[in-house]
This record gives sequence, C-alpha cells and structure tokens, in this order.
Amino acid sequence: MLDKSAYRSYRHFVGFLVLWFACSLLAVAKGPLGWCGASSSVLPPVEMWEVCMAIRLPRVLLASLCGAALAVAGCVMQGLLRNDLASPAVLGLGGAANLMCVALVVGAPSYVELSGVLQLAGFLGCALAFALLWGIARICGSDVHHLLLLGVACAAIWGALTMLLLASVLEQHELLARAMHWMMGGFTAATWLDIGGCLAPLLLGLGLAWQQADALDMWAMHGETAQTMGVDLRYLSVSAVVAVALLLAVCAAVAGQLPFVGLIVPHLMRLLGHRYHADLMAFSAVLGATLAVVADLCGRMLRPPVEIEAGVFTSLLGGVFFLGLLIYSRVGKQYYAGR
Amino acid sequence: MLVAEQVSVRKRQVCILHQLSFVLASPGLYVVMGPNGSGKSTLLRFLAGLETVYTGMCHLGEGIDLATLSVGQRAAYFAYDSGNLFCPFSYRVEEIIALAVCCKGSRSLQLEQVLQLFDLLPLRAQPYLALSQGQQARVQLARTLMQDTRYILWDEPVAHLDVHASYLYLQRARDFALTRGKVIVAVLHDFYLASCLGDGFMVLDKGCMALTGTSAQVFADPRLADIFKVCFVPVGPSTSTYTAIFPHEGK
Repeated sequence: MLDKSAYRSYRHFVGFLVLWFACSLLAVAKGPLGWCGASSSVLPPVEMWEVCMAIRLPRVLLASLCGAALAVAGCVMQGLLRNDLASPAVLGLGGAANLMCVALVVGAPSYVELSGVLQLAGFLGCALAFALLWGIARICGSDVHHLLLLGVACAAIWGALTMLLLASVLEQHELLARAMHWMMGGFTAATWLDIGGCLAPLLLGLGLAWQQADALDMWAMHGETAQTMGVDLRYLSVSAVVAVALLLAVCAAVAGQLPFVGLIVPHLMRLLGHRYHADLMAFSAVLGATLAVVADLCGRMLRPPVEIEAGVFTSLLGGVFFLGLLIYSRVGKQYYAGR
Repeated sequence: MLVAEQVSVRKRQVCILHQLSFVLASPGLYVVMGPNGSGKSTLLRFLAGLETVYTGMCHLGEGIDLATLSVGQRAAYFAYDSGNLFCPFSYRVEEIIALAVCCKGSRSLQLEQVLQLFDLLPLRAQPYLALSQGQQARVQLARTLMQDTRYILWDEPVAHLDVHASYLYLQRARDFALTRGKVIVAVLHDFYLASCLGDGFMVLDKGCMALTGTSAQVFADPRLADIFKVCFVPVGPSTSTYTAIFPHEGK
C-alpha cells in the first residue's frame, strides 16, 4: 500500500517536473523580442541566441529558485506553527525582509552593490521579525491563532514602514525606481551573477528545511509527543526559523515580494494529498518554481515592451486559482472528506 | 530493568511526587492508579523525560542513568502516549503509525502486525481526522508500540474506548508485552480492568507511593478503599458474589 502510493507520487513528481521544464522552456524561448531561433526582424538569430542565454535563461532560473524557496519556506512555517494558514507573508516575515532591503537601498545605496549585503539585510530583517513575534507571543502566552493575528499586525506595520521609506525618497526618481522594484517583486534585472550570489544561502536553507522534514511530521502530532519520539524541539525550531529566514532573505534580496506563493503552493499540495513534509517540500518546490516562471512570463508578455513585475501575477494567478480551488473543493465536498 | 530511587518531581516550585522508589523488572502490564491529582500523569511524564526538575536517581540497569540520556536516546527506550488526539494535518492512519519508525533504526516490528493488534487494518488508508475518538486513541497506542521500545507509557489509554474494546486491546497489549519482553506502564481508573489485567500495581496518593504489589496484594489491602474514598461491597448470593464499588456517600 505504502509502496504503491510512493510509486504514484513519484510519477506525479515527474509530471510536475515536466510541467516546470515546459514552462521554463517557453519562458526562455519566447519574449518581447520574439521566438528564439525564428528569423526575427528585430535581431539576427545569433544575437537572439545571446539574448536567450544571457538575459532570459538567468531570469527564468532565478524565478524558479525564488519560487521554490518561497514555497518551501511556506511548508516549513505551516509545519512549525501546525496551521496551514501560516505563511511567511501572513506572519510579516517576508515584509520585514523586504523592509530591510528597501531601507538599505534608500539609506545606504552605495553598499547595495556589494554582493551578499542585501541578503544579509533580508536575513536579519526576517530573523528579527520572527524573534519579535515569538517574544510577544511568549509574553502573551499566545496559541497559534493569536500568533497568526500578531503576525498579520506586524506585517501591516512592516508594509507601512516600507511605504514611509519610499515616500521619503519620492523626489529622487532613480532611487525610487530601484526601491519600487522590491515593492512589486520581480526578476527584471536578473543576471548570472545574481544566481551565483544566491545559490549558497538558498541551498543551505533548502538543506536545513529538508533535514527537518521528518521532525516536522512528528511535531505535528504534539510537541511533547514529538519529544518522546526523539525530536529535539529547540534544534527543530531554531533550524526551521533559520531555514525560513535564509530562504526569504534570498528572495527579498533578488526579487522583492512575491505574494502568495508561500501560502497557496503548500496548501494546494496538501489538498492533492501530499502529507509528509518531505513529500510536501519536494512537490511545493517544483510547483512554486513553475508559478514564479509563469508569473514572470505573463509580466513580460502582456504589454511589451513594458514589463509588469512578477509579484503582480503571482498574486493574480495564485489568488484566482486558490479562490476557485477553495470554492470547488467545498462545493465538491472533497475538502473535508479528504482531510 | 528500571530502578527509581527516592525520586521527587517538582513542577513550578510545587512538589508533585515525593520520594518514589520502585522497580520495573519483568515484562508485563504495570498499572498506575490513584485519585485525581495524585501524580499519576507526572510519574509517566517523568519517565518519558518531560519532567526535568527532579531529585533522586533513576537508572536502567547497566549503569545507564536516565538523566544522561539525550532526547534521541531516550526515544529508543521509552514510547509515550499522553492521551492527546489532536493533529492539525490530515495524515492517513498508517502514516501516523509509520512516523514512529523514523525515530530510530530498529525494524523488528512490521506495520501490519501493529495495525492488526488494534484492528486498524481496514482503517489504514483512512484520514486520521475522519476517525472517531476511540479509533484515534487506538492509532496513538499503535504508534507507541511501533516505536518498538522496552518501556511503553500510556496515560489513560482506555479513556475513549468502550467496555469491550478496553478489555480487548489492553489484553492484547499485555500479551504483546509478555511475548516481546516489553514493559507497559498504564494509568487506569477502572478497578475491574486493572485487577484482571495488571501484572504489577503502583497506587499513588497525594504524590506518595501508597501501595505496590500484585493484583491480589493490592486489592486485598484495606487501605485501597480509603485512598479512593470508596467502599467495596460484596453483592449477590454467596455462590456468585461480585464486588460492587460505591462512593463513600453511598454507604
């Protein structure tokens, strides 16, 4: 029985990988300048190939990495808080990472060029926001629902502070344009250098998250039960939070906010019947990557040559899809029957 | 062999257990009894490693002191069911039970055996959250057996089970313990169930060990009625008397 379902989920996984690959291929091949390889009136084929390799490919890869990172961060947060409404964005962790990045761009633009500084800022923002949230929850003796509400309140504050920072540079158009990039979230200026810079923290974060997958399953039963099953709770929570902070920091540094990926992707995967966190993370990573690539492609193709940032489309696509799914599953009685 | 010497457990500056000394040597079902608030759950939590503020010694023979075990090592000796049934995500029954295998290497137990023991084979692919509380309780008990430890700690395992199921599964668990050399320590409130199935008894009263011994010894002791504030009254014709239990007011 277990074997059969493992086989089925393996086939599903290959299916999702193929979907991601197809979307990525499309996103690399097609752009505002036309199809790669086709005789285009704008550029000769050789230069078109250059465009694909040097501009579109890193962009698609970066979108994939960020989408995967956000989705896995969502899985970890939901597991850690034992609630499938928890996501880094709902808790304001993404917002805090973003705030730190925007603060760095506005306050000390000369340092932004240094590699890793933005990511470090994002990491600190995320970790501090979580520490603050955890501290308040500890003082109040909050349960998970209260913690989520606290997170929503913090998210609003981080968002408002980011806006205030932006308002302070309204006259400096160049700075404002750069800062706006973080508000909308996108991959407009992605280069191979960006990918190289974010690979290390990303892999570290994914590795930490993956390592805690079994412990998160046991933790879901009950904290003390998990402990009697051999889970070191302090180690689990610290590595889960560090993993989430690393993943969010990478995304905040290179792409800004991509709302909703961390919430809907794991949720969707749970609805599709992936319950063990290892399973959930693997599937969510691939679907998150696909969603980000498609959102980026939509943003490029809708009104060329104007580019609409990918964050707009993750919200739009994700929101519409999620709404449809929730309505369908409730009406189809599948949601609660399957839970 | 588990030996506890003069163990006192404190919880938020309140002393819950006073100077308990006991030995769990041979396999079987050990029953912990006592009125509410007498420290039964705290005793189990202490053994499970969830109460860390204590004085006294507790060791597993061969010089293994419980205080020196890491969380992971302890999980290889003790499995624990707190009676908590809540689970936020919709795992399948078999997935919850198989989780216990993750915690260490021993694979001598088959999932099917454990499922069969608690009649969970037909429910194995069901979502856990769709089960009744009694069924969920059986899943949690099966999970502790799957962990394949020498000591299995159950806090009120039959609280959600009906009369037949309580007897049936407790008896099967006891047989399992005897054949496989396990020690099950269970908190029970049912005198009848306990007297039928218990191999050893620990009766707590106000945090102290009031009575210990076998079923015959403990139930023959006049102090038992005082501890629980009940009276045991023989009822029926002398050929087939059985003992009815009344609260003191019913005297």
